Amino acid sequence: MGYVAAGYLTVLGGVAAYAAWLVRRSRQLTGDRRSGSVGPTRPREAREAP
Amino acid sequence: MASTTPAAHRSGGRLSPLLGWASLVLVGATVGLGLVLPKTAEQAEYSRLIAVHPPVAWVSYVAVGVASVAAIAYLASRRAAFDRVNAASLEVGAVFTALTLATGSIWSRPTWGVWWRWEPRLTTEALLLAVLVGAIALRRALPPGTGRGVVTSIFSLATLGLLPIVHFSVEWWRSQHQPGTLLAPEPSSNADTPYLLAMFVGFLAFTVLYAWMVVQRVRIERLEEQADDLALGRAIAERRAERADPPPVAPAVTGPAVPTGEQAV
Repeated sequence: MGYVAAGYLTVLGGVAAYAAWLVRRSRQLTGDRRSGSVGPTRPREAREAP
Repeated sequence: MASTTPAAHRSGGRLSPLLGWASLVLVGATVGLGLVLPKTAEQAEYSRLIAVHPPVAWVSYVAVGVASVAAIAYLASRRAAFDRVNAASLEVGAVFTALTLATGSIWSRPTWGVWWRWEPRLTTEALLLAVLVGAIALRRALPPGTGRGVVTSIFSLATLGLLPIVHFSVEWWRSQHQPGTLLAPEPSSNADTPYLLAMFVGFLAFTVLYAWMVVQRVRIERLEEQADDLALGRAIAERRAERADPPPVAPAVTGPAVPTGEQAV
């Protein structure tokens, strides 16, 4: 049963990890877009904020 | 320049949650059906891996196929939307190809006695993964634009050329891997109904999951393009503002008087 469990866990873990990255990256970019802190050259006030 | 309209921002729309929930339910059903499959005389309980390994391999084929269609559409039209679909499908395809190799390796350990063997199916599948990873790496190294889209498209078409070699390797060469069960010229579909059912639910589940992942990845690609455009616009505006209004000159630093040449003498 160990190999069967390992196979299922590999697939589920792999797709879950990639799906989580997709959701996190999407939310991060959406949040950046709303706050205006986008890209390497953020607004001056955002850079100077503590 | 990428579109920044609200409609573009809401890519996926209602489709994305629908695909997401459907894939969650279907993957759960696949696991449920797969883990209760009866043992077989040949492979004992290891045959239960049939519910995940062939469906994951199938999705890697689908991903390469979709990427190639998008690549041809991009080369013909130069529309950025096709380039995004191409890149997204390549990346998701690489994930599923890696999972195919991993699950195949786990299955081969108890049945073949080894984790890996350089036999035709495994070798060609590994080559496919290498080309996919190479395409993704090269795309990330190139600046956005038509050149990057063309290079990605060429790589996608190369992976499409590899697909029949991967699939028919078990027929063309002496392979330890079993011949095709369903997608073969002469399918050996002698599997019992519970196995076929688990496999077909698995095909459906991972195909829907693939679709959700591609929709998400295309959205990320678009948001990244918009972020780059916005950042570039800001950088140009700041540079122009700095030229128009130069920053105040800092006062000269006054230190101890340095003796001139005459004083020193």
